[in-house]
Amino acid sequence: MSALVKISEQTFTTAADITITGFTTDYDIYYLNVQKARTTQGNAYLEFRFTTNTPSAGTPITDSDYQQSGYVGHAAFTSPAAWSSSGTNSPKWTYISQNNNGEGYYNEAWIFNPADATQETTMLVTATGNARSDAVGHMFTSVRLTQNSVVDGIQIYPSGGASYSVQEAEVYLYGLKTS
Amino acid sequence: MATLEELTVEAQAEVDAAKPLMKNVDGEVRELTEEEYAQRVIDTANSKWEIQQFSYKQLRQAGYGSIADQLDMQYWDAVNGTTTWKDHIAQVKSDNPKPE
Repeated sequence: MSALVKISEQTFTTAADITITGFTTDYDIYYLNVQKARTTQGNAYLEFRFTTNTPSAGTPITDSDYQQSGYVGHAAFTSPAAWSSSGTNSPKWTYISQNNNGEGYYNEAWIFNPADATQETTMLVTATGNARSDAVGHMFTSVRLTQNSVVDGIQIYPSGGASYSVQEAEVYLYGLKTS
Repeated sequence: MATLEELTVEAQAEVDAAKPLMKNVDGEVRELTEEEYAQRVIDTANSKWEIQQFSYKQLRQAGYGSIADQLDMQYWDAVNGTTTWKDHIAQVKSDNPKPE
């Protein structure tokens, strides 16, 4: 297996949603590192959708074709909890509500088969951050897109009110070849 | 409790009030298209629905306390013939009702 190759580095500022593209057939596996992702309002978490290249690059796949299973924990709550969803169109990118102080989330994600139209895309995501009640939270989750589409990127957006935005995020994208 | 249709009307008003909303694709900033605004309304309504229907679970989980604390309550209830644990659980459920 070859080494990780850095593809892009971007800093995003206030937007209703942010989209990072760059998944191609050049690499087999992609590694996405998102740091200091903050929402403009507290008590919100982030959701995501894969994007495709039709009709144009970065078009979100809004079909209810996502499955997700995860595990979330929070230092202020007593019992970590498992959750799952099937047939959703808004899977969770950080299923921990952000603290009002807005220190931000830290995520890493491994994306498998995104650009291969003959296979489903799957992803593993880990998230941590200072969550509501000023306590650390974490999330581990797996996601499956149950359609064979060319996935060219990912769109991230906050849950909650219409005016909620991503205030800031640093995004680093890497590629990995398996041979 | 509001219906999803009612929450969609609320969401539409919120999105209209929040315009213009911008998106950022690989560093290029532009306003949402009409189609994207429509999706924003759907997402906002669904988010409100989820909060309305399911946030009580998190609140109850926090209110119940740890399993260790609950077992301690049950132990002393058994020793003293009291109903502290049962009353506590009932109070948490009552304070955080399940939506109809």
